[in-house]
Amino acid sequence: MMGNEQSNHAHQMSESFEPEQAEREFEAVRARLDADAPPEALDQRLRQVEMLLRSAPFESPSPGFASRVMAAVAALTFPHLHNRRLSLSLALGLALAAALTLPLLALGIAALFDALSDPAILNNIVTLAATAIGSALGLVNEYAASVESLINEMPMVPALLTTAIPLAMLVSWLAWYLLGGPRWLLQRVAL
Amino acid sequence: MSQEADALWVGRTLTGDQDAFGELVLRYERDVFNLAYRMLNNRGEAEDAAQEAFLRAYANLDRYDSERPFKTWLLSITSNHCIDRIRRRRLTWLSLEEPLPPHPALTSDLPGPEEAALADERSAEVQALLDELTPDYRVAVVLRYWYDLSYAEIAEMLGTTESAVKSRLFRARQALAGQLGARPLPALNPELRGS
Repeated sequence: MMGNEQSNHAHQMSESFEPEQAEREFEAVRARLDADAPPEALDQRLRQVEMLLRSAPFESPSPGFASRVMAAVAALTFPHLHNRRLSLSLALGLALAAALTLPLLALGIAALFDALSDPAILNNIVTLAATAIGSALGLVNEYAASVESLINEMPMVPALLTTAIPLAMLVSWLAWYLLGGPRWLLQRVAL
Repeated sequence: MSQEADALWVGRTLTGDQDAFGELVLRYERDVFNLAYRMLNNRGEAEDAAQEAFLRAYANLDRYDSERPFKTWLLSITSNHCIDRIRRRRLTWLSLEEPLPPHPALTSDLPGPEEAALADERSAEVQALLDELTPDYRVAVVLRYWYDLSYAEIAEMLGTTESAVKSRLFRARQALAGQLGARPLPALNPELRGS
């Protein structure tokens, strides 16, 4: 009986601070109330909290804080804030560069089309490309043949590789862990 | 009037007038510092955080929506930065080979009881209570009680709903009342021991 009165009282107290508080919030708090404490004690605590919070002073920064902030601001450079003239000059410079570059680019493209329209030059280019591709394929074939001969001579090589690679990974991880790897990583995250 | 003046200073800052931003810093340095101090409970760290908040505001001033009050935008940046700092504190790696950092109570730069004035004493009492709250609850309490912001404004600043803000404040008050009950009464200011 006493517990119910206390809970109702606490509810009224809370509602006086937050009138629209949902009922489910009160249910959550009801479970946390100290069953032995008289309602007056809860009243007193809630009033103390209100008084403490409402009377707490504003803290001020140390003298010269604004000057330090402005010094830090002055050390920053933001083109969109500081130097709109610089942005305009940059834009004009880029436009001028583009105006000068475009005719050169057009001349280059025209020369390329001239070269491609000549059958002899086109033939040379195609021959050169075919030779390069042939050389690359030859190198791959050579490498595959050497691997094949190695496996024929030493059948244990594939088995050794499949064992050695995971083992090397495990040893590397162990060394990293023992040398403080996780600590280094956490410090980086904290930064 | 204040909002219009803010808009004027913001506009001038955007045209490259740094002194205009200086006016905004002078106007809001106390608001920003107090929020940082109430969140972080360390004057040095609060000044760093407040300075960082002003720098972030300056760097992102072109994204500021002039329809909103400048003060709430600035406080929003400050609260987010302080919550980030508190979360980063938890990630700090403590090595067993290195000496442990001193307890915060030993490094606190709050004045001692001899020279503490009544306001300082009250401020320290409140700060000790606030420290028991999680950052999300703490920021809601500070914005509500120190800045008198509405639920809607707090919700907008914290990116949550009004009902969530009400719920946080309700739970925070209950938690603070619980803390008061757990603390010995002599530690409290006599004039705050109920009526």
